[in-house]
Amino acid sequence: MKEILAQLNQEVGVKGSIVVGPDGILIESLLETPQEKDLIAAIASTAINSIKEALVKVGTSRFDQFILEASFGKMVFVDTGNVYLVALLDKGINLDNTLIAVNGAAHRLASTARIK
Amino acid sequence: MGIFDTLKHSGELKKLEAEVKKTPSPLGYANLAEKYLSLGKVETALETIRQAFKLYPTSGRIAEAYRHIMGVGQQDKILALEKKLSENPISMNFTQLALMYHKELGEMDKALELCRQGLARYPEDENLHLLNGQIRYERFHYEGFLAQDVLKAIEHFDAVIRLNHLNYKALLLLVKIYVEMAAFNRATTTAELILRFAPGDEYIYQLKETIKREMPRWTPSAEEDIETLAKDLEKRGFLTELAQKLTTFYQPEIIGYHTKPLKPDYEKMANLVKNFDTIEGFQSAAAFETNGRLLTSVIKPPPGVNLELTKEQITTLLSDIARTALEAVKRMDIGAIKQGILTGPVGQINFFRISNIIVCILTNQTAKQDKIKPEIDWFLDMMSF
Repeated sequence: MKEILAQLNQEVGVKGSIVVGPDGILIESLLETPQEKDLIAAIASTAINSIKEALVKVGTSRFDQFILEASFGKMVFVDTGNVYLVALLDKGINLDNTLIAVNGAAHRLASTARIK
Repeated sequence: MGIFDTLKHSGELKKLEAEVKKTPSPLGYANLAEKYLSLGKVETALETIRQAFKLYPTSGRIAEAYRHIMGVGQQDKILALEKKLSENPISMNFTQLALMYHKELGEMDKALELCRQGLARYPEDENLHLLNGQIRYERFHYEGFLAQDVLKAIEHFDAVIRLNHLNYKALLLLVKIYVEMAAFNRATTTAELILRFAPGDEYIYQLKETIKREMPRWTPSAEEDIETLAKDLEKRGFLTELAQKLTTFYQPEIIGYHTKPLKPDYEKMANLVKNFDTIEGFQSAAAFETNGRLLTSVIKPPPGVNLELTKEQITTLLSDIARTALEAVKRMDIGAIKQGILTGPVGQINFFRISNIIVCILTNQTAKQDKIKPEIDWFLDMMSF
């Protein structure tokens, strides 16, 4: 799993990535500032749970992807089916190109989780 | 560039120039300026974007193009300052480079990062604290009045005053912040600190007198808990008239950012939201204030879509997603939300922020981003007029 994150982090503009379980628990992380891993995992799991709660009210709880673009950074959440991949991105990147890499990593994570 | 490329670019340039002349718009100006830049005409690009900035001071697109073009134009200066810093990482060199990013390029995040790095080495540097406070404060104004920005600004200005109790700028900005937050007792006490070493400061004296006069009308909270007051302002999303009136003495001016955050025209916005129903696969759109208050909504579930939700369910869903996005970026401390998208079995929810408003558009899963994005761009352009 760490290898997948390491590969993703090599993409231009990817500042870090983490994997969060369905229960919101941090499974793996690879960040520029490792001391922030718990904080970022907490933010990610709150966001994922809030989305799921919102979706449950309309009869589903699944989402494929949640992308946030803020003035000084971007975040992508991908539901891989078993776990959630969260990538932290630089504000200036071309999202279309980076999303291909993020989704590739999500597919590989889903396969890894299935094998395990 | 070969002859065919030259001809191609020259044709595109002529087309863009004609377009801007015939139907001027932020998008047209931004494209034209970027085209000049790509052809190496940096000065013309700068001139074009400056002109556009005067015409559309609140356009995010123009601000972005401005920052980009300025960045390219100032590349040599930046490289020289970066070299200076890497060779000699003294606090002054951190400040100089941070100032360059902040004042001339409008790159607040890069400037903040440099201040952070500088303060890690020189935690007692007055100038780095002052600049850090100023950037946080300006970010507070331009990025939706986020409480954490103003609280950080206060923290840095307090550090400046601890290091030099005669620092006029830090004290002045603290007065301004306290007035904006309706912490009038704190504002008065800080103004008195200025008057102690600058008794002839007529402006501060008048400000203090005005606060004394106006205070009873505003019934400020007795404790003036800064955190609570900052959160109140964040929820409200704009300054009170009194705060605007009292604090005109310092208007932050950063290149690429409009000089005064404006309250958007809600009626115009509501009319523009209705136009989203022309998007193929459109289901609904809604606009909320950042505090969650619903401003307007358009619900049009198309026939044959397997999503039979009530109007209330849809607006609640959109509001919940907007709130989640706002909270996540706030806690990550990456500025204010600009835009985003949620995709899944529910469809696609595109959302974007303009001032203190979040607009959400729900479409079915097959709706094309290349059809949705231009509509959002058009909306943003229209709102910047």
